[in-house]
Amino acid sequence: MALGRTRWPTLLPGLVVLVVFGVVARLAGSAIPALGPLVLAIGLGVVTVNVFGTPAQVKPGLDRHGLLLETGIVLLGASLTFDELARTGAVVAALAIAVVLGGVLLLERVAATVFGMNRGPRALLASGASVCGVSAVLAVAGAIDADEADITYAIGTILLFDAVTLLAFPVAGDLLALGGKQFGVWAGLSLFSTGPTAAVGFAVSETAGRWATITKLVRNSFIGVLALAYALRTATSGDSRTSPAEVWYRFPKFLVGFLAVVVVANLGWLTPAAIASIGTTADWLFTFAFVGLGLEMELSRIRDAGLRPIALVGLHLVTVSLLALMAVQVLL
Amino acid sequence: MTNAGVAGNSVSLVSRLRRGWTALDSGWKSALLGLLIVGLHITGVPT
Repeated sequence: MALGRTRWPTLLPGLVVLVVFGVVARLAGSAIPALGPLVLAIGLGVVTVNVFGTPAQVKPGLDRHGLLLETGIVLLGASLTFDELARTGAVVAALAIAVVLGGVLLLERVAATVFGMNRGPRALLASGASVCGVSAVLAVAGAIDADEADITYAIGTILLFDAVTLLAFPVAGDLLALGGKQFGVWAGLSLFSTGPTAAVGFAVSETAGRWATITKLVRNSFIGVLALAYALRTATSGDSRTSPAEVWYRFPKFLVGFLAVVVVANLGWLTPAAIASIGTTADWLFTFAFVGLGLEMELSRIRDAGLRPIALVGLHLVTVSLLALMAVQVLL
Repeated sequence: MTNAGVAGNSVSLVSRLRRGWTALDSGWKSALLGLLIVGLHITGVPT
């Protein structure tokens, strides 16, 4: 009871910031359609944190932006039909699996042979770039008992590329004149963190946003398996965190909610008006979450990345995104 | 049961719900919130 009473006042200032900035972004976004509310939400956050910083009182509430993002993703399930999934779902899933497996093996190999990196930073960068950004770095860091310095470098590198791809991918999508679904799947296969992937997709179109998020979710679902694989590898050198329960522990549970909503929507329990209303709710949640995402992008954290990780992950991004681009153009 | 007893039980239920919610993994919280929003739409409760 006491916990319930003390937590809300702690969270409230940050949540108010997310809501106020989100409302401003949506109002400004309707006035500047070229940018749109989601890009403006991130922009407002990035400018604010790097010009004014964020007071300690608002941080607990701002940290809840991940919950809002995941809830928005769960709601996306309401606009998915089994037909749509059946038509291209298998191709998208196969491509996502190829990106995860191929990406991890490629980055591990290049990091060891070309850059001479140790196992720890290799594992963190491979999981962050191939599966789901910072959350994958933290999950694998826990599984292999990584050094604090390696974790900081890896997170700085991932955040740097999150920021770069947020700006570069919508421009690339325009230049390449890809269709909404093609662009979405391409972004979902290439980008690192879930928030920026969804933001990039929705910045281009509703269809691109949905496919970017769905494709990214397939990659995210591998985090448990990857953490277990790395834990098993580490076990050979003495660490023993290798329980099969680790897979479930690391699995992103909101995917269960997403799949449940897909099932509910396909049972026909939702009217078209309800689906539209759920879509609007998801849009608002994404706007609030993207304000928080922008507020996380402190240049000082990005500067923590070293040159070698940046070169390695940049090489990985270019290789994977070019291969993914060819694949979506041929297969979708 | 007395009014005080009923109030005590509901306080205890709310308290247990709060503790359960706090202990939940963030992913489960998102899943439940999403399902709650969808459920409210199915039942026609204005959201």
